Amino acid sequence: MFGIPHQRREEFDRAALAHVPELLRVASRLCGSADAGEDLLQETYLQAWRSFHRFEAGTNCRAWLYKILLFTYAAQNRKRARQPFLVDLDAAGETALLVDSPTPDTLTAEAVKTAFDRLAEPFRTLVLLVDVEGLSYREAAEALAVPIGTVMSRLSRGRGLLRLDLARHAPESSTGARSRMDLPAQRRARS
Amino acid sequence: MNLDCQHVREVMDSYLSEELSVETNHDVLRHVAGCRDCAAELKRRGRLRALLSETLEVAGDADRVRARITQAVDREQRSWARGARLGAVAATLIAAVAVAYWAGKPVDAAAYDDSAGDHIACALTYPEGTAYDPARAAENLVPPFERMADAVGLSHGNYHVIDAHMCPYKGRNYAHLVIRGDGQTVSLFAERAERGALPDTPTMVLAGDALDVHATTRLGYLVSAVATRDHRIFLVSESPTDPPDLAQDILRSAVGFIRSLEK
Repeated sequence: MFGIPHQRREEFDRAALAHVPELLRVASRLCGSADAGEDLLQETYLQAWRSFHRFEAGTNCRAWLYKILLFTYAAQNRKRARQPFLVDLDAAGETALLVDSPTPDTLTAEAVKTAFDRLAEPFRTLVLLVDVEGLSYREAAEALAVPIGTVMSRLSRGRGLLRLDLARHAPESSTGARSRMDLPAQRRARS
Repeated sequence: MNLDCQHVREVMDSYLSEELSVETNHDVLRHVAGCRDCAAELKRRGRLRALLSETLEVAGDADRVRARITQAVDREQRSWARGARLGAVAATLIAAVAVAYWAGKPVDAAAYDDSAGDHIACALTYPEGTAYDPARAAENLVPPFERMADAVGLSHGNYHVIDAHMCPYKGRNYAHLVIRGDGQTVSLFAERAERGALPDTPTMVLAGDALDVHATTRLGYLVSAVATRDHRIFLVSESPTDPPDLAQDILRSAVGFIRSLEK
């Protein structure tokens, strides 16, 4: 056995290359630039081609490519990808959950971009996959090879952290102070 | 069920993602229709998503990238095709080249990177819950590695072999065991030593044996490698196995099997 049989190339082109536009967008967003995204995507497709002998025709090629893309991205950014786990992950998440900050009234593209860039992994990738790219929770779980419950809890924390960051940096008048005060009171009343 | 504001805020994002049951969806809609605060928050969260999509838009030329990918895969395919065409001739030359290799002690500089690379490209893509299928393994392993999974052992503590196959990667042809346990995936690779000696790294002596284990980190993964007379064995893991000597048990079993092939 030496390499991948020739006849599989057509199958690879047909099944995998159709997803280039979507994956290019995700790769570029993950990397923060089109150039870096293109490099990441090329490496992703080379990895996919090298392991195409393991891909079963008729299964979900898009999900398979997402998985390779995210592993390749994580491998290339291993240090950065691991860093958030070294930071106080639980404390960060709990803060977001406890405060449950309302979304500011006034949102600007710049503030949203800055808050997103400040978001730690793995929250950042999940918010991108689900809230921006529109993957279902199940698809995101498959792509990241984690249980769906992990996706839901990380998403909840990630979204909370994003709102918290936006609220912290928003003008005082736009943070919906009333809601922020009401929610802890409601929680106490329920418990 | 009447949802209060707190509960609605908790499920609001799942509502926007269309991940709620029909019933909860209706509860949210009912609540929002009568609650100005939550209706406003829902609108703000929708706006936040729209802004996220808008602000994260990075212009890329998909056609150009598709062409670039096609060229890269073409190059790789051509190099494999050349290898296949030359296979017969190479088979006779390899022995001579190998002698020259060993005489000059060339170093297989990419040995560790390639094992870590294939671990990422292959082992990490197995879905959760994959179970070992002896028939599939028998079909996908070729001589002399066809007995490798059984010989190495299908279970080591909490770690279990979930697949075994021949794994072509960058011109190599690994026999690859994919092992899962304690939330991590481990790869055991064996290949014929055709590219030279393992690069120098700190080594440790495998307990109860006289073989040096080269230990290094590549692409963020731990790689432990052993060179036998005619083969190379690589164990790739994300973090140290628990218990720590479990990795040595797997390596020791693999070395025993490979040595039996070399007799």
